[in-house]
This record gives sequence, C-alpha cells and structure tokens, in this order.
Amino acid sequence: MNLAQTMLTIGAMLLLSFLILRFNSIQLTSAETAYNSKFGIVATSLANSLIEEAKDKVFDEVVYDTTKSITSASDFSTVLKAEAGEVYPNFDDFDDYNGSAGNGFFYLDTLSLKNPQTGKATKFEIRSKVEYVSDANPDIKSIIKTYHKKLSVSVFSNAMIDTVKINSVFSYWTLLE
Amino acid sequence: MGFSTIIDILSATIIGGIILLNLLKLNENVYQAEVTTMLDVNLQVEVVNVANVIESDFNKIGYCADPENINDLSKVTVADTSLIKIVYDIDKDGDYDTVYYYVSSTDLLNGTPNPRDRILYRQVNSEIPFMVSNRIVDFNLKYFDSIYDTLTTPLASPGLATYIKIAFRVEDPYAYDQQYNEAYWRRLTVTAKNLKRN
Repeated sequence: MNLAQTMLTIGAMLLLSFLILRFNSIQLTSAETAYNSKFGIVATSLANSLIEEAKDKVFDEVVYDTTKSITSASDFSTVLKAEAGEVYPNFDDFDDYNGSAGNGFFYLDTLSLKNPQTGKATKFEIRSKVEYVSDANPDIKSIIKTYHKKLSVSVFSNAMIDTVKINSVFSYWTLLE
Repeated sequence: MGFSTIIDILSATIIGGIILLNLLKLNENVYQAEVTTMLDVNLQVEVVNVANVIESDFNKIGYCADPENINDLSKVTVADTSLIKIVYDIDKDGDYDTVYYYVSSTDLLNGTPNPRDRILYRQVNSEIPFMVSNRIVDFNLKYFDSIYDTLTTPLASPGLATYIKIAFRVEDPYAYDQQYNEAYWRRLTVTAKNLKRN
C-alpha cells in the first residue's frame, strides 16, 4: 500500500468514526428527550394536583374565624405560612403551602419512576411558595395584602433536564349584598 | 503476485472487515433506537390518554346535574387497592351513574411476552366494560379520611374516603433486548369537591 492509499484509508476510517460518534450523540440526545418527557408528564401531574389540593382549602386562616369579619384585604394574614401544628398534608388554608417558616414549602414524593441513567428510583422534589399578587399585575409579588394569592409550584427530579413550574392564582370573593 | 501485494490484499480485507462490522453495528443501533423511540412515544400517548379518562371521572365524583337529586349517600361505593366504584352524573340527566374501575388478572394477556401486563376496565352502570388500557402493570389506589389518615383496604365504609391517591404504570407488551419500556402517572390526591359531602 503506498502513502496515498494509506492516507485515503485513514481518511475513510476517520469519516466513519465521526459518523458513528455523531449518530451515538443523536441517539443519546433523543433517549434523554424521551425520558425527560416521561418524567415531565408525572411532574406536571404532581404540580397540578398540589395546586388543586391547595385550592381546595380556604383562602386564609382568618376565613376560619367566624368571629372576625373580612371587610378589606388588610384583614388577611400578614405572614403567609403554615400555622403551628399544621403539617402537610393536614393544611387548612391556601398559604400553608408557603411552608411553616413562610419561605416556601418542600415535599419529597417518594413513589416514582426509575431513572434510566442510574437504574434507581428517582424521587420528585416538590416546592411551592405563596405570595400576594394584585389583579393588575399577577406576575409580580404585591407588597400589600390583596384578595389574590399566587401559588408557584416547582417539581424537579434528578432524571429531568429542567424543572416543571406551574403558577396559579387563588382569589377570595364574596357575594355582594 | 508479489509478497507486498498479498500484504496489501490482507490489510485491505482487515480494514474493510472492521469498517463493515462497524457499519453493521451502526445499522443495528439505528434499528434499536427507532423501535425504542416508537414504542416509547406510543407508551407516553397511552399514559396521557388513560390519565385523561381517569381524571375526567374522578374530578366529577359526586356531581349531579340536578341539584334536587344530590344526596348525602356515599359517592365511593366500593374501594380497594386496585378497584373502585364511584358515583356521579355522567350523562347529565340528573340521575347518578356508577363508574367502576378494575383491572383484570395477568392471565388474560398471556399471549403477550410481558408477564405483568393486564387490562384496566371502566364500566358505566351495567354496560359492557370498556377497555381503558391493555398495558397496565400497576393500578394503585390509596384512600384517606378527612384528616389524611390512611384507610385500610378494602374499605368497609367507602364513604369515609375523602381523599384518593391514584398511581398507575404502563409497560409495553413487547420488550427490546429484555427491556420493557415503562411510563408512569400519579396524582397526589384527587380533590373532587363533592367527595367531601359524605
């Protein structure tokens, strides 16, 4: 084999190697996308069910107190948090989902899917926070108490590429007399 | 033919063989990726479809189109780990209907290579059961009372169920390389408003 033939052979081998590497990379990416969407389905479902669960509670702790009348938004709780003795899932009002310290709620969902990369069951980390928002600007936290509270839920697992985040606004309303 | 020519032919054969082997392996990988992706996509569509059917029913537990007919009877009439009978007005005719979810035994799908797959049925009143999915490997229900205490299944008093946790897993009936694709879905709790009227 002369030099030209050797060079041609090496070139062909290199091209083939690049092709195989490229293919493997595409295969890995598509597998990652597939299982990420699989985990995304569960994460979305968990986030939605936490929101539904929270919306099933009363708007504020004050609403429970029948001796107090709510005449304006300033009558609602100043600190949004779970009151003493309230532990998940025994929350009674919407802002309990802001955690007992008022800086966010965390729940580790232990029933889960197997991570295809590690082969082990991967837990879902569910985080939520509650804040007052105004009806005109629901994306921005309100510094004053309002009739609207926004629950932001984030669900993440080690097998996911990104966090699933879902927000929902819960409002207090009353029938006008 | 000289000695160097023989060496050339031998070298070319070896190199050609290596390239051919690589190409064959590549071809196999392409096929495997295609099959796995296709099965996976189908499975994810299946899991979303089943979830939609279940969610649609469970969110309406206790609902009745005619408020006059709403009663305080239990809206969960049978409750076990993998079967449940719920009550709500499906056809909005003002009368309650019964929806029964249950899974078959694995024997029913003996024809598939997957030894764990079974059928999830949904039966409305006494109609012929409708097959929701034939890839279910795990259909799990948990029940809680109003203070979130877990209720032991089967529930002697299904009316005590105030919150329900649902989880199900589907798997492909056919495996590639002994690996069954799986997909999973679950709800933290079903919070149907009318479930708490019991």
